[in-house]
Amino acid sequence: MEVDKIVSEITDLPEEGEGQEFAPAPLNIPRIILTCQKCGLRWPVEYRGDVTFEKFFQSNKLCPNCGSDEIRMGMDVIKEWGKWRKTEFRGVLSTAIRDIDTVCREYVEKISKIEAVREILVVEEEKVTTVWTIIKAPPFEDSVREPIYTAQLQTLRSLEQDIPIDFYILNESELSSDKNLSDVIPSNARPIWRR
Amino acid sequence: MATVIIVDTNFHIKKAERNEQFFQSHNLRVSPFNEWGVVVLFYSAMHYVDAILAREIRLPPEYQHPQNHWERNTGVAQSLTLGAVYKDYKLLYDRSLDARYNCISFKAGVLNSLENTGFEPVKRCVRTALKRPQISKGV
Repeated sequence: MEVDKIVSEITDLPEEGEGQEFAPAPLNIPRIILTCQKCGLRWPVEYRGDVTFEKFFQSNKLCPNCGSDEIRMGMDVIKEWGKWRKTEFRGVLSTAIRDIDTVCREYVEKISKIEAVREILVVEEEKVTTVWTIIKAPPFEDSVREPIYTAQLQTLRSLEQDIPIDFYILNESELSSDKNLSDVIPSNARPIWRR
Repeated sequence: MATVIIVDTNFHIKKAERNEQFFQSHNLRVSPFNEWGVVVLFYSAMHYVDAILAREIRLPPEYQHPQNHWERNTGVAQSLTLGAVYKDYKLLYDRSLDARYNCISFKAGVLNSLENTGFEPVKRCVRTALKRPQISKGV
């Protein structure tokens, strides 16, 4: 689908700062809604083609109401059109990275109290960030994992937007005797918490 | 743009059952190559959850028809039906990663336990939700 061609036909978007409620986007027409984190103003902006979010954001970085630069990219309209969202994955991912940090912090807060948890690492790949939780527990004693899965469930359920995040638990006691943790942890893993 | 193939609930159920039959018929539970048993159990569970996700119109399209594991895992967590078995499904997912990438050897009895505490609850949940007859272990 030629997204740019469709975008060039957008004519009915409200002017910047006009109103807080927006009519549903016309079928198959993408629209991005920015939200000011400070004053709560929401306003639509026109999609400008296949560019990274940072580049796109250059001219939209200040809230027209309070001048704050704490702006978040709204996802509600994008969610209505999953197909288009996938074509803009790079943009969405750039936005989401900031949010992933917050999600990881909350996850660490929840599980770092669990005795078996030794270390938490973040592995950033092209399309997804995977949070590795290293535990030390008797081999195949799966009940130790339960509170960690509960924390993951709470985290994933609390996401208000599509954030590309995944979780993995590794019990270091289950590694074979000829393997060390450093053999299995990806080289680009970044520790975010350690006991 | 990537082509999105949308398949239906029946397709996923058939794939899930086929994987489970493979697991049973090759007795992977006690095989010296039991790490493949973990992988097969996981893929059976994966098709079971996909069968439900495909019907959850409340979810965003990428979770209804996931193209990768993180979309599926988030979909399972946010699904009204599958949220209850997130822990069971996630245990299978993690164990399949252990088996495939981290060369973890599964000692005797582990697969039986994984089948009972990970796979069976997912299968039961999905088949109940879809009003399909339950299939007992080993059939």
